[in-house]
Amino acid sequence: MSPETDRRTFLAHSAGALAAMALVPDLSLLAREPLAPHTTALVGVGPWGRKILGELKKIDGLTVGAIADVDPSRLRGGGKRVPEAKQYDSITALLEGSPEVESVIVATPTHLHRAVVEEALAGGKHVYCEAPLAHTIEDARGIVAAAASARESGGRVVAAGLTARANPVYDHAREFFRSDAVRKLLSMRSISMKKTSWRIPSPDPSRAAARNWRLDPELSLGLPGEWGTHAFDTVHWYTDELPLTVSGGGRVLAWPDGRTVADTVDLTLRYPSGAALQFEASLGSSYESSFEVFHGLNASIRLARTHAWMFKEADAPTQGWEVYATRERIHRDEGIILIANATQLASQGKLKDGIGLPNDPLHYALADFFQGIGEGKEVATSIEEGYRATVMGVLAQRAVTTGETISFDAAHWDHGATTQQ
Amino acid sequence: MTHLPGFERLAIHAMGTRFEAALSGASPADLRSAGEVAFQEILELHARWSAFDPGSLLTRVNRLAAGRAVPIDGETFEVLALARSLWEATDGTFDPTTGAAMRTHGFRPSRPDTDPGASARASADAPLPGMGAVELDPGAGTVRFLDPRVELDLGALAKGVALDRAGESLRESGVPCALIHGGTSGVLAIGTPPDSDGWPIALDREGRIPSVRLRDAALGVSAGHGRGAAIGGGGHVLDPRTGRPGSVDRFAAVVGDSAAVADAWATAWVVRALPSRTPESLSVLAGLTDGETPTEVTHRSDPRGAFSPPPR
Repeated sequence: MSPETDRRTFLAHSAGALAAMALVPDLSLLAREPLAPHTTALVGVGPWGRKILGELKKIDGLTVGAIADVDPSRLRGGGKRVPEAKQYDSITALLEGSPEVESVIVATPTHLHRAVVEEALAGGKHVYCEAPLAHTIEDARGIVAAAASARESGGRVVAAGLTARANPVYDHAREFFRSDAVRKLLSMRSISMKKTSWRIPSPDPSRAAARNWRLDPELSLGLPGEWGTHAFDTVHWYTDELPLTVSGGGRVLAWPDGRTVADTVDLTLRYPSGAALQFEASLGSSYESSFEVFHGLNASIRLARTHAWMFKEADAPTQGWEVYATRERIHRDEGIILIANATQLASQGKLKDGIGLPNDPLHYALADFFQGIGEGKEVATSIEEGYRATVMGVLAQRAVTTGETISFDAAHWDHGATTQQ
Repeated sequence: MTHLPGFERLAIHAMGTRFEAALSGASPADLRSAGEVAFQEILELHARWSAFDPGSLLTRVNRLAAGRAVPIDGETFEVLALARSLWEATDGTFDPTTGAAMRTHGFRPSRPDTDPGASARASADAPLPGMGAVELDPGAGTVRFLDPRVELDLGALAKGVALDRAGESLRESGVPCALIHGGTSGVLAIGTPPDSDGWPIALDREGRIPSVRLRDAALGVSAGHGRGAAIGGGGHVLDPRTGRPGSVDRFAAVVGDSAAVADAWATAWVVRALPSRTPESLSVLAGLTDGETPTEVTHRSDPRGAFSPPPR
């Protein structure tokens, strides 16, 4: 083998190949104690609401006592899932008819969140509100104000439906991120891809506009709001930084059916540290699905809902624990699977079935909310964090629709409430 | 599915197979959105009923129900009740308590996240526990296993239920003409294709076996040989009476209103012929896959799913 070949081989196996470590928390610790008996309700029984019902069924101690939706066919669909639940066409009727309900999960269209949240809190219920909290900053402020009042006067628990902060694998990876394993943060990337038109059929023409609120430019926050909000919150949680500006654009490329809400967007959010987040999302492709990457001088971390990996640079210091880590091949790179308590998990055979979370991240966010109620502890995602993420979504969508660079200022981050931050 | 000009086509991967739909009779945008909603139904069922997903409700049931009653959602309760009624109607020949035995015979990968004892307790050559060992409490909305060997595998039923549910969704969305299949082992037809009296479905690539034309009907196909084979695409089928694999050469095709019911009866007919037990509402074609042995046909007069002799 010639020296030249040796050099090529060396380059192929060193400079071009990063060591990847899958970051998985101790799965044996994820089994939660059963809740004290608790009765909850769901408002908004569309596809996401039905997904919530599926996760609720896996939480011991929980009863879905009521569901509500203005759309009769969706209400019927939800009723098939939870036949034991009473059915209502509004939050008002639900509160009147099911006083035993202790908490309300709000999964209506985004622009309807505020009214439902305010009414549920006024009725003395704990509230979990899907994110983004609202389609305007004003409505999001209204939700924060209502939550602050309910917390102070009645000890109500209010959570924002952002799943990252309750996601055990994201939490585990964040420990590495914040322990200097990444070293200097250089750049960030977020991808959200799913092949779906966002158009909902409606045999009843009077329901068509309501069902297709995501395609209504007056009501929809588009991809930056509906999906980006979650990625923006993850970046905020990891870095403690809020963006200075957002710029970018969006186009209708995948589904030119007369819509004006972009089905493909790309954005750049710039942060005080100098790093930038590149956000790409499309409704026309499912390739790469959804993930965030934090690129650092020593390592990069990739988060993908139920999984997380750390890719180490060849010149990064080696930690002692890496010697004991399990290795696997990921494309060209030999990765190290990092799992807390790996020996025990291996003895239980749990390493054979993948290295990700067993449940959807939504499950952990909901479980965290109910634990917050039962144990009186703070929830992972406060409504104030939901507000900040919503602000980022609102302004990011504004950048897409105007084509302008939008600056975030102190007034944007001021939610108006004076309690919990 | 061959190329169908003028049809809106969609496909997804779920339940270990590929579901595909061809839709017609409305604008492309409306057909697309109707198809997406229908496929969303399938994905939601997959999330709950997958025997391979450690986070699914079915996995949770299999892990816990031998020890206590486990709450399940209304639709899961309904499908287990349907499974029980089909188990009774087929004299136990269709039996979804086969999960552990399927792994014991190597037809399913090991799954250590479920109760590891179930596999250990399942003998390779013993009758399956049967749905009689699955207690459903409609009042409490729970399921409990009365035999620790029970491990549910809805593979032979869930795809059919998914097709039925997708069909309901498409009809609710006003789609007048559609064909959906799940891995070719189950097919659901809505209406007829333009200028035709039915959707022509070939049961094998070689044309040795009669074909079928479907109109507002469902077809379930099962075969004793492995996945991805020429006929059907269904997995290996165990004989519940022995807990051992049934004949590898046998196939069955069943036409009826429900893809779930057709799929289950096709599975049962692969294990053994059940002419006296088969409801009048079903048309059955069963036999050996060699194409030479005469096939058994039951109730073939149904115009919604008439079997046609193969061309000679």
